[in-house]
Amino acid sequence: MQESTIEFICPVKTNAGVKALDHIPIELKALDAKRPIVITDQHTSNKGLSKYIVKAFKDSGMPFGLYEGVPKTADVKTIRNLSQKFLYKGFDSIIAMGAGAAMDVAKGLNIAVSGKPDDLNLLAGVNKISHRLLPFVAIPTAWGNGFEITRYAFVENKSFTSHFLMPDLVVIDPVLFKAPETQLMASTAMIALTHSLEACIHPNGNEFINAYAHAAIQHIKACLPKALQKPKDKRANMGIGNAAAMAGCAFSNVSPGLVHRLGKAAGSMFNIPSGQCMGIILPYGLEYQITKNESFAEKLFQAVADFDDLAKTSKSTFKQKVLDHIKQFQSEMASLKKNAIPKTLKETDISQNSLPAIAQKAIDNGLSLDKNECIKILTAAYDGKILA
Amino acid sequence: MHIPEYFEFCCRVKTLAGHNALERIPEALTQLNATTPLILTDKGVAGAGLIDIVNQAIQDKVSIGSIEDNIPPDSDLKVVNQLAGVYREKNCDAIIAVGGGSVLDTAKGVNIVVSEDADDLIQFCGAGAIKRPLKPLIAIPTTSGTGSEVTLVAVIADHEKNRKMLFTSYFLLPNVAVLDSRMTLTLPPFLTSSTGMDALTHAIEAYTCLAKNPLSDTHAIAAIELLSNNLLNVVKKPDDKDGRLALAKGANLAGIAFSNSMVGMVHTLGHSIGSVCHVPHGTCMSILLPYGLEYNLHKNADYTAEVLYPLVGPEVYANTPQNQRAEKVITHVRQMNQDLYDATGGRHARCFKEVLNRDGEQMVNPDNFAQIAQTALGDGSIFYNPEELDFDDCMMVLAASWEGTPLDRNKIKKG
Repeated sequence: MQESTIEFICPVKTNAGVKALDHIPIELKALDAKRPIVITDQHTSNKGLSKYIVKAFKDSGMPFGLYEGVPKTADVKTIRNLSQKFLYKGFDSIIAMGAGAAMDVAKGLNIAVSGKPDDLNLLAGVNKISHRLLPFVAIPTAWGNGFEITRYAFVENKSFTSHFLMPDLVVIDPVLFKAPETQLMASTAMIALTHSLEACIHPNGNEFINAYAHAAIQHIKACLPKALQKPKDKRANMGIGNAAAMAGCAFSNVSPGLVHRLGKAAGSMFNIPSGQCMGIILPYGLEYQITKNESFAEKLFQAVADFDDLAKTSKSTFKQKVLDHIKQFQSEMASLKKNAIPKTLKETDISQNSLPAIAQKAIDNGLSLDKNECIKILTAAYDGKILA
Repeated sequence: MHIPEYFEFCCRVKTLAGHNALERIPEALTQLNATTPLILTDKGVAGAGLIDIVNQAIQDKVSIGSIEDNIPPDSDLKVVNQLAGVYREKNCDAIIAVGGGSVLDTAKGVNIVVSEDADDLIQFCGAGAIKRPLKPLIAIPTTSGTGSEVTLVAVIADHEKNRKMLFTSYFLLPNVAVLDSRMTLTLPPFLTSSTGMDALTHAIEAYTCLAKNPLSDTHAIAAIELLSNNLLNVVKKPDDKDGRLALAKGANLAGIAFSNSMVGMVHTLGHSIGSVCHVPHGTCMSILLPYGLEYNLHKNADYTAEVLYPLVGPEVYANTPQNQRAEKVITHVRQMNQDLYDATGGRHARCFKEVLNRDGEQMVNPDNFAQIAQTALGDGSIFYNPEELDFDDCMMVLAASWEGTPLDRNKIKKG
């Protein structure tokens, strides 16, 4: 008997594919928006991607503003400048093009202009926002930190958690995914994989969350090998973008899992993309969680396997097959001729004697697991050997 | 997995599901900044004691504006306007709809009127006419079901001017859908079977027709599994609470799937039989589903074959050779209809000649076929069907589904 009430929400509409950008003016009209500001970061504008959004608006005649100066991390000063501009020029909606900081700035801006300016302080924390914000469209163009299409925003030392921060619309257009950045693409894929798989085994997991998580994982299966082999394949890269958005929607309905927390701690301490760390730790973290709860093996296997596999695999081999699946991705990433991606923590800049500090950092940031257990998992990820 | 060149997917409805989900409503209203809901339902739901259950779950924490149970089986413009009047009179600030498709459609209609202060609903017809969030709407389905708690459409009939008004907007979606096993516990077996097959049809058509996408696919597969595993059990044992909850979730997931990927000929013909002969929607779906799959087999057998896994599970799937899986889906659906016929003492019809009205008369007659076929050709859903349908094709399917005989595959024209 299902004991407690399950819950699911996803405010995000997904428009994905060829010419997705061209639909933006109509989508804005449907949200009663007439004058958006487009916010992007220097990296995106340096890649020459701004012209695509300009083109998307040209035929529609919709006026819009363009700000290309978002710095590498979101800061209050940028948000305050933008909010003054926003109110002065009468914008009524926000479009963020890029990743990471551009999305955080957009979310922070939305808080600042939807209520009182001081909301940026008052509404920090969890579920402090109590009403819809202004229409917000997110256009991922690059490889990010996995928080773009989620209910989280990070501005300087503050974090904001609310599903009202999620974009009304995410637009994933292959034309924006042309410059190959294999390591970052792979990192994004691993974040999406981690978020999806951990959502499937979360205590608050349910069929609705799984629908997004499974779709994300299927995109990774279909597109990651191709994107690794052919870095210029726009459709394959776009598939990873889709996976990241769908995983973000699943992730926003649960709390971050073990592998997420360890990966993020390791990445931030050593300035390595957190997705890369998550990807390395993933099989070991999942293996650990399966030993604590056997039922996880089936849930994870259902998420990664296709029907033919599901039909002919016996229960006793579910766990092994899940781990093999992930290790297969790791092998493909490690065997790239250029920009090979490390398979173990040893192959990165991380030293073995810093593993306890990584564990501690993850615990300080909210991971509730015994420190020695964390070190066990990190050690296995360091050596690339199964859990002791 | 099929990734289309371009696709869209959206379901902004918050879902709450459980054996005590109703008790979460006061909190949901607070989060929506609402205090005084108008409860809308129909006499059948009220008569089954379901409004009492809703009341008991929320009355200590919520001051209910009014409870109105006069919604007719077909949503009606006059009733919409009258209920909007009650909303205003009682100073309500939210709507709670408890019922099936027509209650939900009516509630969506009332919401347009009270939110846009509309004198004439006709200005909001069509797609894109509603551009702002409406008043808070909480949907509590009492069948499993139409999925209307997650669809962006509402159909309101204007009987005076003899027209049906269709409204399409993401803003019509309820804010919250509450799936509580108590709401379908007393649904009679023959209604459980037809509404369950309605939901199954939504999921299967969503998965096998032209507008499918990765997200509608995962929702459809989850729906098929929940519905297939539980429908017959619940028809045989109506007080199976876990089963009722599973069906409610399955119908909801099926609604999300089809409203993001359209449907096909089963709905095309089903709508038409419904409008010409007044056969209930679920009954049309149950009967036509295997025919739709047969008719389209040469075009989408691969997708149909995949449906076998959630439909029958790993063992039977593994023991069915790949090139026989699509056929097995068709025979399995026919078997489901047979099992449901047996379990409901013949009330779940297997073919149209078995569909009887309350007086025991046949509701569909071969004389109606031509009119049904004509109507079908004008139904929008026809464009999403994998194979083209012309007048003669419709007549052929109608004749076979009336009699209850499989289609003659040789007669299916391949477009």
